[in-house]
Amino acid sequence: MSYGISFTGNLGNACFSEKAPSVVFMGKATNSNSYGSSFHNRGCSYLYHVGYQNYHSYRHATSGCVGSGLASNKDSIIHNSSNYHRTRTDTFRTCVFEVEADSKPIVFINYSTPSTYGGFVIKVVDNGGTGSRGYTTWDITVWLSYTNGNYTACANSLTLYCFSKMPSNYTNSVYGLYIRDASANTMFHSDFEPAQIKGIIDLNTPSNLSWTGTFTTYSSISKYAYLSKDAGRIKRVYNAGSNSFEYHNPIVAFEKLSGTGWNVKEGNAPLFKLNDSNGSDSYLGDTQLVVPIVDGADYD
Amino acid sequence: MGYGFKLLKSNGDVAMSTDSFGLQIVDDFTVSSGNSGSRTYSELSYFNILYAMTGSEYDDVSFHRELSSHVSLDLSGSVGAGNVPTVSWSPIYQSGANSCGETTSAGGSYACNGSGCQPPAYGTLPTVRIIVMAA
Repeated sequence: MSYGISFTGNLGNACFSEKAPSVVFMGKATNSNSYGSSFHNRGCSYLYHVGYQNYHSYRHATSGCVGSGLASNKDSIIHNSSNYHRTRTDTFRTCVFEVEADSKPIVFINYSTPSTYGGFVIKVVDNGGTGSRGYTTWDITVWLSYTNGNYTACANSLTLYCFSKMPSNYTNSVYGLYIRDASANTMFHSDFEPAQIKGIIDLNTPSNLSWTGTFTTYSSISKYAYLSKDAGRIKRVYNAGSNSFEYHNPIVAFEKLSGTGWNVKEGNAPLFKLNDSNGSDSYLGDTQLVVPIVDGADYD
Repeated sequence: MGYGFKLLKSNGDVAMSTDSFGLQIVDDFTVSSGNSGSRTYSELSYFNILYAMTGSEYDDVSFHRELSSHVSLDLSGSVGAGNVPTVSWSPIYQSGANSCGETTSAGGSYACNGSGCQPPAYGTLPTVRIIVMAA
């Protein structure tokens, strides 16, 4: 670097610098804490109905479900335009959490029982409010992964560690360390705890429907929290029963195993299907998936 | 500690050290469904770790268009030592489809192009959030 300041880690990485705002901790959210987290049974409005449905029946089913909360007809039989029936099961819903952050949050998720429950963030929107610290409040929608209708237990098992860009106008200079860029925007300030990345899961392009990759830790971790990100992959799976391919956007959650072992948990929610019987099972989309990990205990 | 640095919180806990690394947000933007594009970050050539992530923004009426709402990200160009990273994105199309003539109750039909097949436009198009981070 030709000028400025950069603290360099063991990997040759820049821990923080004046080149870009640091990712800093803004707060955490659970399904029962006092800061505004709330639960919504909105998942039925689309998650049930996209499963096993084509475009026609999806629209039909939606009209009776959106905005109605928990669908009274869940687990019922619904009809699609191909004149066959599928039984819906209660396996996917969403939970909406609220957090306060200076800018749109980046969320790490801890699963208290990862072998049972999972989920990832599918939507983050400004809800129009202002929190107690004067920052914007955001609704974070998490797509839950559970079985046997235990969606509340699933929601209760999650802790969201929410980070955002370092507030650029934060100027407390009484003590501590701060870094500003050439325009006097604050890039780092020790009043805000930075995201400490202590591990990485590096997943490679699957040659089939199996995930491959490595799990590397750089420091000890006691409470694994994974960056919640869209896998960016559509899974194309052949269904022999209908002689067609279904397109899934699977939930991707991560389960830490012993040592450096890990397990990728995928949900099983067909997105839609077309009458396409050619080709093969495959993933579409990103060629690499890098998942940073923080230690939730650092922020509890 | 033998070498490196530590940044301690007032309670003595480590806020950052050379045993972990921080993240810095280089860019955070959304792209419309079905679009392609790229951004180059010439000023960030000294970073050694740089990657991009996606986060789809869904709503009730757009979820069915999920296939075309997704983007495939490509982080090209090596980072560090004067190399210039570029993030490019393009929509994911259904590949190998042979049923693009399938119609919907909205009166639309699945559209084909050279890359495959995607659902017809209907309702609010979703956007895809792309976050570029460096360390």
